[in-house]
Amino acid sequence: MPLCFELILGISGVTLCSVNLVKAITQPFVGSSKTLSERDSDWLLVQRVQSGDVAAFDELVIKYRERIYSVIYNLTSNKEDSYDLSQDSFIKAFQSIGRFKGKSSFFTWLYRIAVNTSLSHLKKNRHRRFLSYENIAEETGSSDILEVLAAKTSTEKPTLIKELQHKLNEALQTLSVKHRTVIVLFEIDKLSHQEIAEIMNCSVGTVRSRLHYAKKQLQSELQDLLD
Amino acid sequence: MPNNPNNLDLDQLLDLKREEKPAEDFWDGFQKDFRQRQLQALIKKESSWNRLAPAFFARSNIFVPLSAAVVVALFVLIVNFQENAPLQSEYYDAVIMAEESGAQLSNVSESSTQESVLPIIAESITEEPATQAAASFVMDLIPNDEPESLSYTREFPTSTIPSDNRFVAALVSYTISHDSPTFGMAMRQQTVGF
Repeated sequence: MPLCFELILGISGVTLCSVNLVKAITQPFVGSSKTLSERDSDWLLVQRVQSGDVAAFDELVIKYRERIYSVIYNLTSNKEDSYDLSQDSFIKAFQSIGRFKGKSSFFTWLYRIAVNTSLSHLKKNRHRRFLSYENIAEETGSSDILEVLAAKTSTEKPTLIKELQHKLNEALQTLSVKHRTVIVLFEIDKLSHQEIAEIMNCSVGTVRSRLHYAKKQLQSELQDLLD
Repeated sequence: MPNNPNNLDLDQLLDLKREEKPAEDFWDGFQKDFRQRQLQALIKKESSWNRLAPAFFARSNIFVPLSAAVVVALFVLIVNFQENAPLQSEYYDAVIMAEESGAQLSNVSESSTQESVLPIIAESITEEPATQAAASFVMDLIPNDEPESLSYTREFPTSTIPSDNRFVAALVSYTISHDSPTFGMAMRQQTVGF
């Protein structure tokens, strides 16, 4: 009889352990939200959206809207198109989020949607090239170039910035779409080679070679401005 | 001479691109527009479902008998089709039957043929002696996909045509004598379409 009791206790203990183990596997994020990585927190939000919580997608939009807008703007150099294409990208992501299985990070997946949306737009409108620029935040900006330009007088600086901006955007538009995408993602959005390879669905080696070529071409285009 | 009074390099220039940002209030409008488009996407998704769903599920009182009627109709059609479809052996049976009936009809006396309303086709008599004496019209039942060797004919004695129906008799007589397409069926040699 005591043996039976011990056996039952043992089995129930094993069962409890296995239940806890299953919980630990299936819900690895519960109770440790502070230590969650960006990928994991995105995945939690995605799961909420997939289970019908539409508001959870708003959080993802707020989190990534600036980066998505930025990558599209840097690819198109047109702020009106960038607005529409960003909206399209988020809507596409929302509509197909049910098919997102979490194999890659949500961020990579979203970037891929945005890049593909931009590329198909550029392909469709390759004969219609119209640039419209965002304003450069001179006061809040923190880049080195603004510090260099800060030495200029107040009348000269805005003109110089406008000129640099125009020449840079023109030079970017002379690159092929693939080379432009690589340079935008690496130099401006500061993504890794691996991330770019995932987004562009190519090898890391291809990313490196495209980056090298794109920088070389940009340098020759901007030779007048550089050393 | 270098045209670079500010000592800029490419990385610094690309940094400038990072400073091209919309203003803060821009994002309020962006978010508002997105919510509107998201709502439209949801409504569109639901409305397409709502259009289809009632037709199948909501009006189940119509759907059930309707589908039952469709199933019964399909069943009847399939059974009829299978019954009417000639088997391979039926072709051979028909050929044998036609030959036998041709032989029998060749023995029919002249008087019996004179009773018939229909004349005999001159061409067919010369080419096929077995059916010379047979006052009959033959319906071509050769399917399009069958080879010629598998063709068969079904013969109807002219006596099957009611003698009092002069209109039909005249029409058939005209058809035979002119050997032309009638009633949408092509006439062949030794064959009369009807």
